[in-house]
Amino acid sequence: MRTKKISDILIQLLCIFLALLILFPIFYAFSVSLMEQKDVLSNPPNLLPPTITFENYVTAFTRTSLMRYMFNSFVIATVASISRVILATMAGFSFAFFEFRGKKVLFALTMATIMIPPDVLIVSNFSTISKLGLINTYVGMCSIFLVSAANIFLMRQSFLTFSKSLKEAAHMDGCGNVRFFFTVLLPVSKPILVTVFISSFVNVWNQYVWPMLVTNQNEMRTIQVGITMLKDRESAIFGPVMAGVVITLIPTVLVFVLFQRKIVSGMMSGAVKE
Amino acid sequence: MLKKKKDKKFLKTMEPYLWLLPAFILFGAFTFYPFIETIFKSFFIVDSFGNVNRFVGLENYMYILSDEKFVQAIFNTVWFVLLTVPISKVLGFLLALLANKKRKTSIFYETSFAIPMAMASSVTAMIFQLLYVPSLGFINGFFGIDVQWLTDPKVALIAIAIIQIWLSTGYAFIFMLSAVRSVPDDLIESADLEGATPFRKLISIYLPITSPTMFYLIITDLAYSMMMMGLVNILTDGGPFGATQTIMQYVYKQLSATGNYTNANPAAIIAFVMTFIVTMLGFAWEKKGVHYQ
Amino acid sequence: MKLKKLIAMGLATTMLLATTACANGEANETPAPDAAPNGATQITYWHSMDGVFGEIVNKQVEAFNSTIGQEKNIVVTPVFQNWPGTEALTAAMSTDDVKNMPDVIQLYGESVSLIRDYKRTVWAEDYITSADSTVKKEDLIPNTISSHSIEGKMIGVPYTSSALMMYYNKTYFDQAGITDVPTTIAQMAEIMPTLVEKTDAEYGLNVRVDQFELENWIATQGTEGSYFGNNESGHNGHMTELEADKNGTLMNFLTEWEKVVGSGAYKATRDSINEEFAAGMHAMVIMTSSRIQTIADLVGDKFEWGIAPIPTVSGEDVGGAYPSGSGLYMLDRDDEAKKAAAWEFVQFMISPEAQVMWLDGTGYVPVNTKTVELDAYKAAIEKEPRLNAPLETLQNTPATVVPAFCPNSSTVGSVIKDAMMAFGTGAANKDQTYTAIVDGITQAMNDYYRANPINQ
Repeated sequence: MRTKKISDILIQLLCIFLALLILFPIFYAFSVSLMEQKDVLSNPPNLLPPTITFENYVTAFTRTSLMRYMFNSFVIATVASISRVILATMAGFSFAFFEFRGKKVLFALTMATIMIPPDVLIVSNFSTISKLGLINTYVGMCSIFLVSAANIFLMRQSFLTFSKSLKEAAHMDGCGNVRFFFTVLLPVSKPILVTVFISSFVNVWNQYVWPMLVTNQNEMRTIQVGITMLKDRESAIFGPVMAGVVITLIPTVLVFVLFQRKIVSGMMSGAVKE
Repeated sequence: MLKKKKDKKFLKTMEPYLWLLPAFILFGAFTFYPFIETIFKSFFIVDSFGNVNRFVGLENYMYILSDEKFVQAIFNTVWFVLLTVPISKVLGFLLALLANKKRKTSIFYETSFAIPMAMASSVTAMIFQLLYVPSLGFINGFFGIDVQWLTDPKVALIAIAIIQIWLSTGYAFIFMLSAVRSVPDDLIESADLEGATPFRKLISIYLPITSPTMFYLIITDLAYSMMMMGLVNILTDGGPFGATQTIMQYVYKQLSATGNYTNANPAAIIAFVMTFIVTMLGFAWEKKGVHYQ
Repeated sequence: MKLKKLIAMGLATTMLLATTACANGEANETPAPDAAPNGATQITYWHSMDGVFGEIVNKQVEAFNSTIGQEKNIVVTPVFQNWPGTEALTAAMSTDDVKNMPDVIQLYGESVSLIRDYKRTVWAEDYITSADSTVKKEDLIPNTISSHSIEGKMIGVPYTSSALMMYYNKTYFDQAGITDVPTTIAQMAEIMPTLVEKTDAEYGLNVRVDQFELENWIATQGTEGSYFGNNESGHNGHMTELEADKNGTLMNFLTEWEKVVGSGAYKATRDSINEEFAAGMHAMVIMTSSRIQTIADLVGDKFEWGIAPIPTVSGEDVGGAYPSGSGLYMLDRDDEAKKAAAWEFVQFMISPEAQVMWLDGTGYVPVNTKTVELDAYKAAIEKEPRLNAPLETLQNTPATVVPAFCPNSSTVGSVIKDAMMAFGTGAANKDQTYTAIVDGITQAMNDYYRANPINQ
């Protein structure tokens, strides 16, 4: 019993050490955001700011409309994530529980969308959005993020681990597909739905090129564009941009910490205990 | 009566397609349509205004494939995928095994292990850019080493791979953790009773049961890593000596600065074909290696 | 159960947001520039200035809107675009999306190839030479005019200008007993080892020779300057091939540069050049003048430093530097009122009043020579006298010293960077470097003109 306790503590220590190691770059960004420019790169290197300044945060907020950008990013990330969750669940359901003609082809086509380089499609998509008059709108900004094949794939993987008998049993009880979907499948898939939502949210929140391309008004810009405005390419000043980085991290990390336990509590095989 | 039955039957055969419809409408509009257009245009000379000018067949493909820089980019991309995908998956898996049992401080280190997945690659690139500065940066200064992280052609791609591994290990971890935790307790207990070594348990219990998750992670990350360019754009712009240029970075460079669709279109198609082949190999493995319960 | 609550809460917020989003989205459907309530002409200005530079751009625009803009009923909206500012432009151009184009755009010289043959490009020449223009060609630094001209006509106007300069550590120079700042590369190479020996400097010189640096050393050769590319570096017809190999300037430079490499006191990579210079690692660094104020802040009073024109390839060379930076270009969006308003705005942006603002935190050179008469300019120079050096350098350089309108610049840039890096670190000799540059640029030109044939 005693040795077990000791090993428990040792593993925890190891984990905490690894955790700190992984967190290091983020911690460093935070530290730099509190430094004066002359202390960022110096000899010997500074890990902690020799003198703490909040000037960089002031700059970050006065130089750009950071709050507005955050709001925009929040809107498109939320809308796109909800759409992704709904569409992925539906498509995943179809791929996992039905047998139909062309299933393999359709699934291959779905997977192919992951492999198509998005960057070459961007001009063509820009033209579509512009013809639809959706430039400078949230709809336009969300448009290409509304569905993700990776999420469909994830839902399929998750549903495949359900025993087929589950659906059959539901049918025996006179439960139609739609009812089965809403009353049986969705409730037991909660953790995976949360996962899809979070990973989508983070993904769209971090998008840069597309939201920039389809907006040409300052008030429609997203947070990632805001960060580049702080970058100071010409004279290489790091403080304000790191302050921006820290600010943008807050919402994603919050969402993450809030939901993280739910994700882990079981997504795939563990969803159904027979 | 009969008609109704027929309708019902029709509806029944149509049902799986209806579930797929919304997703496919979007895929059609924003992925398939522009991609088919790209394939079509890749056989033409296209100028920087996007005008499709002259049909040249496969000439564009031959042209870029005879460009050393592009061939180098293909090899770099493959090397990058080989570096990042397996390592980040193995690390994620190991971390998940380590964190499997819930302990007092779990909440802290579980969150910490996963947090990198919340980071944008552009932002991460900027942080590492600072850390990597050879003369006054933290890494060299702290360890007292003198590594030219981003300017030594032998090291640069590895330095970028390290960042990618940092970014994607968190993602792998969080999925693997849930997979590892879903392993039924009784399986482990009975293995313990039989006196199985931890290694034995890993091979015959954890690996098979978590394989669907692992499969998902590998397939999506393969495609993702094949398309990587954001880190390179910020950190090295493909240099030194083309050592970090990936296929997509080649495409991006052709497109954004000079509007050279003539070179970018076929390059993108080649990237797609390569990714497609690799993924198909992955799916061939699904039949053998992935165990759905 | 907590989860349920969280999800419910999440959903509620999202719904709320989604509704506001839609409302917002609709409100924005017609872009503001076209729907002015008070009948003012709305102008969109795209720029790619970040950091403190972006702040100054906003100040300039505000100054315009509150003065001339108010008077003539013009409102300018600045929009930030990712550097080099071409992504959104090429997208709009390839779909001829007039609605989503800017009226005025800031572009760097290397992007001019994109718009020089574009049907919607509005040449600045006709406006600046017209009688009622408040800014005349004579007001601008001569080589900033030629830098933005094709066949003697201005396609755009110079907006941000800086010069490649040498920053040197005076304290080190004193310690090493060096009284004269080197004026040729050979002189520089000679003092580099001494500087390392007699001072704490780790390197005599740090500069990464990219396209920008190499082009400067090519352009400033000879008594009247030399061209990097054919057809006067693209200023008289298209640049379709390298000229620096044929006129011998490339070889001249490499021959001299070999002395720098051979001195053993040269650092060829660029890591964090500002901070390294401020930390006393280098006795000399060569970089753009736009960093003067950054260096001043970083160095503080740790040591004395000065700024001088870059050393020339040979003693007979004209020397100096070409004006690097960006220009303002106008696009025709099928609206005469907008075009006229765009010129009003452009005119203001190159006026002394707007240009003097660059001195408030940057090292850009005011392109309008009348700027020096302003009190604000005098005050800035008094505070930081070194800011005057790049202006003097540009004014002393003849109009024939210009940056090339080089197509496929990003590839050309990589070719030069790699070749010069190999040369600088000893991995390649002079002849290999020469061949690498010439062949690489030939390939880059082939790439470009294969896709964009002239006279199609």
